Amino acid sequence: MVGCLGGLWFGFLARSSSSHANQQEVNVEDSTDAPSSADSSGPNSSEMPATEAQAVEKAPAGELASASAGDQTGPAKTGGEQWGSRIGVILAVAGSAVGLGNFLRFPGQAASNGGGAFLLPYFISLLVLGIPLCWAEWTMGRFGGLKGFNSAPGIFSAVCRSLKARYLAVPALLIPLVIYMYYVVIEAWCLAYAFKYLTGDLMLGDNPDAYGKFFGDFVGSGEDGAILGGTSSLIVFVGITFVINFVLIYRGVSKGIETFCRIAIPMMVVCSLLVLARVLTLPAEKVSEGLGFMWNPDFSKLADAKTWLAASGQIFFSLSVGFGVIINYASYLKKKDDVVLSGLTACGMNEFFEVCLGGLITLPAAFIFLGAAAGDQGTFGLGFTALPNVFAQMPGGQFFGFLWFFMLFLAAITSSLSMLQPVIAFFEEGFGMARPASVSLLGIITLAGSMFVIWFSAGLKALDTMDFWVGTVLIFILAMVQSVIYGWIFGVKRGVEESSHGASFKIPMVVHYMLKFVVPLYLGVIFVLFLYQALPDPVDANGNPVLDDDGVPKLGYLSQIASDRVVQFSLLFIVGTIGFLTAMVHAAGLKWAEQGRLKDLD
Amino acid sequence: MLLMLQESASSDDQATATSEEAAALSQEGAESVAQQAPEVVQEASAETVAMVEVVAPEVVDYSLNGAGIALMGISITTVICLLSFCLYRVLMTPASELD
Repeated sequence: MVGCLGGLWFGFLARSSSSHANQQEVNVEDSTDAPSSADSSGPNSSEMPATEAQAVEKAPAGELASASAGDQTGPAKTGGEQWGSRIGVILAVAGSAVGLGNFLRFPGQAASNGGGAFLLPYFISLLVLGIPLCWAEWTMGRFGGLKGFNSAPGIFSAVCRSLKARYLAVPALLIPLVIYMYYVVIEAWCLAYAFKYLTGDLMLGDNPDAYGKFFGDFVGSGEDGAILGGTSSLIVFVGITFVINFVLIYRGVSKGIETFCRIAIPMMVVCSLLVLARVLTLPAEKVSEGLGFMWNPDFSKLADAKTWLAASGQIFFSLSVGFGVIINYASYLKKKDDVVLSGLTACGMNEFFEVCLGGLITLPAAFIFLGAAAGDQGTFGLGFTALPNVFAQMPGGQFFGFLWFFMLFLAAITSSLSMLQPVIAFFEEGFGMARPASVSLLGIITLAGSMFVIWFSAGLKALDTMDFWVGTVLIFILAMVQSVIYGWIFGVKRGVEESSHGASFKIPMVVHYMLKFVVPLYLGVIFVLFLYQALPDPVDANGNPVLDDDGVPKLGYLSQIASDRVVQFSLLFIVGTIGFLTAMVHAAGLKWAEQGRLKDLD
Repeated sequence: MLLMLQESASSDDQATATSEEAAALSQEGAESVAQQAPEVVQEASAETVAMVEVVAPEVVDYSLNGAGIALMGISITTVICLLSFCLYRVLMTPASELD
């Protein structure tokens, strides 16, 4: 399917890129001269000519979004976009990181892995894995941006000084692209739930089965094609969500993403705090039990490797590292922007939403009304079945239910925007496409992918397959690639110097060495353990197969490939998309080579 | 970010869930079982008594305990301090130093 799209679109791309070629080449010639001479001089190679730097310093912040090449800090960015302010980029990166996982996945992971004791491996993972990887991505992203690249293939080429490195960045395009295809559907669930709370359609009483049935019918989990059969209004909400996303992304990095995040993140904080206040003002004894269920420590779990794996995985997935997003966002920074403080602040914001809000709201609220069974619902079950039941029983539940799902919708949209930008940057940079063309192309590709997810809705199998193989396995791989590139190719020396530009404090040296030696190893171990746990068919403590609700043995991801047609289609879809993107990256590299953009890097 | 949305429950998860579900029976329910049990047991065999003992769950007190309060407090305080420090540095840095 995607292969066909690739064929169709290469013709379009060729025409589109040729129409912009003349304009592009002017920028390219300006851009390559400045960095070329400096590139070979080592770590300070991104220094720009003094006159250009002065021009940038005089440019008022916030008015650089559509600046011409000569107005930019770095030498000739194809799209010419930059963040308007430092807090803007921090909010955008935090918005990218904060999503449903902060509110729905983290509490379940903590409660089933030792409660409060889970926070010990969790914070250790944050220090050893999360923050170092964030800093590496911020540093390499800005470095690539200053070399005139905003897309991951270009940034990897600049960092590795070789055009061949662009192929390593294919996952950095694939991951946000494919995740967007199913994430936008989940985003639409949140919007629909918020709307249905406003209309009262979700106040279904205290029968828990009613919420499960509502969710199943709404997302079409009963049979493939159910949503398009007209029995669910989901398709309308998907359409609205698509339009919102693409209108915002069309407006660009500064006017679209940054402006939206500056409004959405504070709104999310307010909505969350209101819901938190409601939860904490329920009868004190129940609140105590709810918080106890989430936070009372079981230190014996610390001896279980599974707890450490869960903590590392939660940190890793929560911070948006290895998604190809941070590296793209950081490429729009100026040379004197503080990547160290900005990265740490974005991490801090993500942790605030996860620990302080997610840890106090979701599971405690669910426990108060549903008991300990609430902890075993999984992400979707907790979010879209258990919590609606909770809000129905809670005084003022209709209003707080609306606030909650509206907040989740905002959290999801700030994340989905971040998934679109890396691919748009690549289309514009690799093929000289103008914004309307790149947005249209991406819109058609993602719409096709989302329709695939919507059609194969039975058991949410297509969504689950994409989430596992792309949204989990490939992220591990990309993060490992990035940490190896940072530690072994970019190098500690260059890393220290690049990250120090404009930094109010320096990254401790030990972190650089951790990125070189510890992080790739740590990630590798987690990855192997994770696959060992997820790929085979699940069995219980006695070695018997784990059964699903219908009494059928659950299958591991390997068995699913062999036996499930939808899983096979989904994997074919992913492989087709990989082929399509690889071909595009190849073509873009040829174009860059032809233009001599990286002639000194090879 | 949204990831690992539909993790398959592992064997340990299953075991934990089962014990938690059993433990989730309310205090009232457990007391009721305890009150009724003697009447039933009067005419029951030793085997039945053993079964009653197995079925009646241990009541778990989920109230927030001291260690839970400490860990919750430390975690939340750590995150808020980190974020406050960062935001203070970001927002208080003069614009001239940024650009």
